[in-house]
Amino acid sequence: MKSNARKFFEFYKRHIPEILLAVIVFTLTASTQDIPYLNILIVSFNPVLTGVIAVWIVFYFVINPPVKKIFIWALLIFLANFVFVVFHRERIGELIASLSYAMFFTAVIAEISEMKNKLKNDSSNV
Amino acid sequence: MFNDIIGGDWPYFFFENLKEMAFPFLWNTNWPTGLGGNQIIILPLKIYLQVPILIFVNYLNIPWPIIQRIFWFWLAFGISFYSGYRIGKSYIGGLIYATNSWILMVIGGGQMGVALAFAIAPFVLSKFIEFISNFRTLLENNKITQALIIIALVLSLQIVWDFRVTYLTLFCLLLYFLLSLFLKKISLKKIIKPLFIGLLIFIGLNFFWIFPLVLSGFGNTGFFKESFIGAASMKFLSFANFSNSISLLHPNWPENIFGKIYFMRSQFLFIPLFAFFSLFFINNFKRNKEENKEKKMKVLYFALLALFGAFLAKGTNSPFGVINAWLFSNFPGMDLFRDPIKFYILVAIAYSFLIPYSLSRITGKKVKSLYKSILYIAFFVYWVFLTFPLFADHVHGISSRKNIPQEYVDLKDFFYERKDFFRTFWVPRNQRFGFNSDHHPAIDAGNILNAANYLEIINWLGKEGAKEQLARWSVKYIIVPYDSEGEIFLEDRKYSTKKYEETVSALNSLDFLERIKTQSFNKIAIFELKERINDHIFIENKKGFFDKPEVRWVSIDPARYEVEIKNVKEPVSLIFSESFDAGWVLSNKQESINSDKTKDGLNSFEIEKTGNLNYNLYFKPQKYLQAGVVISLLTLVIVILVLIKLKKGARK
Repeated sequence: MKSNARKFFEFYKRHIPEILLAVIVFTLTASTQDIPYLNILIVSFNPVLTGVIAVWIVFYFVINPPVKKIFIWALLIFLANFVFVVFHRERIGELIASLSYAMFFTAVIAEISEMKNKLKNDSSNV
Repeated sequence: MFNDIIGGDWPYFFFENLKEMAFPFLWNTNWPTGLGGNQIIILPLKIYLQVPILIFVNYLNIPWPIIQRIFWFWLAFGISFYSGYRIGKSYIGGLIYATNSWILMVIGGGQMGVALAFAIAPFVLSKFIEFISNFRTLLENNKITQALIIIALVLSLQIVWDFRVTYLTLFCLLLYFLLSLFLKKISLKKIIKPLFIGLLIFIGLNFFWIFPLVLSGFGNTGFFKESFIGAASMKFLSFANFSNSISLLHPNWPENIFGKIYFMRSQFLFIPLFAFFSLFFINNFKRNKEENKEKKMKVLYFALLALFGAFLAKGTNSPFGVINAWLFSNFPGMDLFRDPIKFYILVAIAYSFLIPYSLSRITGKKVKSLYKSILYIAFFVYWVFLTFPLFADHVHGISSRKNIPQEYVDLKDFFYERKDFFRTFWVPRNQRFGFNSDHHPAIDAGNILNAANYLEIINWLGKEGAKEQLARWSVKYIIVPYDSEGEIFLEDRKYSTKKYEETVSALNSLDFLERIKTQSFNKIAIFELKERINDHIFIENKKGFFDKPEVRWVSIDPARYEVEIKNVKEPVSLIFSESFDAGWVLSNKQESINSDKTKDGLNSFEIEKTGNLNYNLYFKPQKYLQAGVVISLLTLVIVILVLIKLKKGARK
């Protein structure tokens, strides 16, 4: 039997590129407001929030998870928002709600694209 | 049986106001500041307000409290419930649409034009979805025209109520249209011609306001006024945060006090959970492939609509508020939404479809009807719990009331008996029961002076030239209102006696004013200008001549006057004391004189001729309105005849 610490280490080893990528994307996006010229675009954004959503977008393109899984995770994350709101941690709740929003949005767009591909050769259309 | 509904933006009318109502003219002597203006942007709604009053109240003698309920309040609730039901064929949808916190706040605030336009939006959308879905069948059965006429008619009715909500509805239609094109549900080639015909019908029906709007110039009408206010005001008015907007929770719920934002109520977070739960079921269909594709597309469409709506309704708040600010400044039509909270409409429409859909799919066909009923009842109880403040009388706004303060009734009688033209100048602004008419328009001091508070107005009144300006505006009385409703003299959202008393005492100290001390006016402080004021139409005495020509005038209607000038010995300037508009023309058989703008923004006509002169003074765009009304009525008659013929043809 492997110990839990061993399991975690193996999991970490397996996903080390993704974790590193996420950290880099988050740091880069969050610190964009300090980079001259680039901050013209991003200066008014909330850096933490933008960083989290940027990580999500990169994660989506790298992993390409099934749409149903995204829906489930988006709903669960939104549910977590409920807990934060109950305990009056609105700012964290807002951050989580935004992430879940980005996930829903990605999933809906992905589902529409998939539907279009399926319908491409359907002769029943006008 | 019924009392008057009073509160919010819902106007109060005295019996005398109702009696004088007619088909609205393009020029409104009372609007927007009390100095008159081209009311084209509010004209459709005014027609909807005044024509039923004319027919039912003035001719058929049905009391106004009944008519206001039938044509506004009951209608808004009835249509919104039916519309919400129709979008997903579910009573739960109707319940969500007709009783969500946003629409309750809108009705509570007395914004009935918005409420009615909101009410009909899902009906328009459901008709359009049917049109796209059944396009091939409609084309084969020659029923395209019928479907288009119905959509154009309903859209035209909606635009009468509120053109901003129509803009949002058109956004919903466009999104569905683009999605259908993207998924190749329809062919652009085949649908473009019918859509063009539909557009022509829509323009024909709305010609009565489109024609004068285009010909009298958009700039003069203040049509794009909101865009001049700028994105900064949008930031100020972005009250809803993202959690509010996605949860369909109005940020001012339940008290409806402007700017008072409450903490997020966690119980509302279940609404988006219910709605987005529908996305789990979009790939679980087994039978009837075509129908399932249709359903899947609808779920995805409404989810996208809800996501767009929630994003836009939060305004400049995070996430990515800069995108909203950019859209406000750069995207055509978005500058109409200085107050982004109107985007809640998109969320409400979407949830009226998605939540009933989730509920129906959770239970499925295999589940016993008892469990289904339990789930629906549970949701109903949850919804009642959300709207509980309404039943607990915590929602502020309109209310049904029998009596209005006697002071205002006496003030109305005092003015109504006077036959000479004059204006009243309300400091800081008119009260909801403050009487005004075409003969005695009321000027809101704060509005006309663009003053942020009462102190700025007092300061202006003390300045040199204020007395002369008031005389040029034909102001005879300055009034400090009795704030019976606690809406005017506020400090930390509560009535402040200090502010009222300071205003009265400041006016008392002005030597060109004399206070009228009549017991019946009680706390309404009325001051009369001691010196003689200018008439509505007068000769400018800039050359200081002794023998000033005499001017007599008769008002035929708010857009037409007959003017007689006697004893003109040299060229003179005739001043018409209404806001400048290039549409005003002074003419007789010999000449036609256009209006020039005076330094203080009134209309001036340079008369070169001498002797005794007779003129007609008229607002030229009024004739565009008359032509537009004829064309719109003709289109309506033709459209109804075509519908009857098509229905008869279908029966045969």
